[in-house]
Amino acid sequence: MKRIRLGWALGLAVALFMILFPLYILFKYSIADRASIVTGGRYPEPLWPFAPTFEMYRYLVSRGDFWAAGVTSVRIALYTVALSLTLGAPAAYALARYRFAGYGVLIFTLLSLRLFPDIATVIPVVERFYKPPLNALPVEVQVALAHTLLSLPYVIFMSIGVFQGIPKDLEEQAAILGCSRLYTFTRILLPVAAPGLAAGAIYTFLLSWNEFIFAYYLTFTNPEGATLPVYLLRVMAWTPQKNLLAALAVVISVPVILFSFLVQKYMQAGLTAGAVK
Amino acid sequence: MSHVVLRGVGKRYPNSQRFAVRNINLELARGEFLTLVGPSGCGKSTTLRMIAGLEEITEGDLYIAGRRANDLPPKDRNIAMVFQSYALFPHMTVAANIVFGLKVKGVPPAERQRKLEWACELLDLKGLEHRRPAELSGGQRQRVALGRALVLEPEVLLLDEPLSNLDAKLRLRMRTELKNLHRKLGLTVIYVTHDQAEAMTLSDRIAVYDNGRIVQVGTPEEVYYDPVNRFVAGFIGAPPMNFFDGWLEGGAFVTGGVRVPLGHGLQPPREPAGAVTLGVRPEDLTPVYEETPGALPGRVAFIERLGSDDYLVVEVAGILAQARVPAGTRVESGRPVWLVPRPGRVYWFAGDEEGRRLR
Repeated sequence: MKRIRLGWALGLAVALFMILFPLYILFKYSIADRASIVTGGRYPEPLWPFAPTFEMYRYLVSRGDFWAAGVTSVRIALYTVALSLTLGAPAAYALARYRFAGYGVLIFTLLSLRLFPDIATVIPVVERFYKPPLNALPVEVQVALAHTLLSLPYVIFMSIGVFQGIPKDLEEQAAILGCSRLYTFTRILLPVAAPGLAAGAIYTFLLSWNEFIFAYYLTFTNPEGATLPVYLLRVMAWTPQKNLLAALAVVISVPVILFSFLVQKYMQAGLTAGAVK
Repeated sequence: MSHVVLRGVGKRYPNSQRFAVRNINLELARGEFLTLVGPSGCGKSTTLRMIAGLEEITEGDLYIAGRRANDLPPKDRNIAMVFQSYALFPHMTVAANIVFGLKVKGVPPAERQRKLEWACELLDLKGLEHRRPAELSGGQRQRVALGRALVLEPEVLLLDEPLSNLDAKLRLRMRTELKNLHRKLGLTVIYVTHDQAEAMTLSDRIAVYDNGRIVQVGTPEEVYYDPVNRFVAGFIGAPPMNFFDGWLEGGAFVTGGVRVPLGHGLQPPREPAGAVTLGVRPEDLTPVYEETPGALPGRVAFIERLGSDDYLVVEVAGILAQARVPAGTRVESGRPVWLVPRPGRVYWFAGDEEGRRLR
């Protein structure tokens, strides 16, 4: 018994270390003063900066193009979440409730969209966006659409399970009480499914926020639409100091954590508690 | 015309050859409490779901309040249904759940409020209006589900095993409350259950299902005292009727190698018969401890004590039979005993699979 617990603790410690150590390195660099990172090999890099400073953060915050990229990123991520759920939730509901010929093939095809590496699919996809009618869309919407393409299979797949977990009795009761199918879906099923769908929303937000390749190709003729990862590349292009890059990396991570915390509130256990039995 | 009529109603599922239920004929008067009872998978829930409009009717006709309802969507049938699972909307408060149907139907808010208060008063839900289903006990959820159905003032109230998710004590209480509600409101109710005790206590009439068909419809007394076949006799009543398989031969009933001369309480059926099953309910068997004509000989196995009554379990020709005895009866096991059937309470059934009652 004791040995099992010790094993668990050890495993946990290793896992924590693997997660937290890079974060520590990142944060350490982001608040480092110059002497702590440019050692010239005369002394080892310190575990904690000699003179911690938020100078790099102050510099980033003072830059207009950084803010513009941040706002663009948030907007694109939110568009992507909205698009993915609007399209994905009804699709998932249909797949959860109805069995039809070719069901398995359809599910497999959906998932197989994600079997190809992004780098392989980026050219045909982006090419579409360079041509009418898609090229008439605002660039932010273009990027959001491309991100939706990436997230939708996962969102659908995750949401099928959510809808399958909702008892059919609820729908039948709603039908007897006079609800149309659409009314039942929007007033009964969606609210009940919301905690489950939130997981898909977090995933989608993260995906869009991190995504680089599609955003890069779509915004490269139009720097106005650059997201933060694309902005990061632009900053890297002039080989800046480690501490500026680290600060930028930390800043990019913050909204993800905030969004996850926000949405997690809806992810309580027992999503259908009280519905049946 | 009766309030609800089912005429030759049957259901076959799309990818099945076999009818799940067939030839269902039922007529309900306004204000009647009818129970569909039978073992699981016998088709009683399917019948209810066809009346509700949740299953399509494959053949036959359904009339509700004089209108043919076969092709009406559930909402236009003027019915309300309570599911076994209650199917409360978990994201809505008690109040929102109860008035949901009224809201969908476009009933004005003042009217909804009035009905809500009426239901909460009636079902003892006062003070719980703002709770969510997860914060309620099983019995309270049950009453919310009932309230949601009752405020619609349906022509027919359909109840699908509404008590089976409750614990034994609460089930008895809700049974009484249901009976009371039915009386007070004059509701027309179709009730599905596999529990024959619920069927017996609640119903004006009972329809006993077996294997997709109705085998008998009648008042609780009729199905109890005058069963049409061995299945009904065995299904209705607890503890169940004792059955002895055997045959009639030269003025005696022979079962498991034991020859019981006919006479006294044990009168044979008028119609001629060979292989038969003898059925006697536990309360119609009296144990005596000396040889008696027309009695089934056996040995005491043990006593089952229920508190209010005890049941003497007797081995008769290799079969364990039960006889009701006064509480506190003491008999040592292994003692020879003769079970005397009460005259007029002896049932004979054909010895084949169908088990038709012989009269």
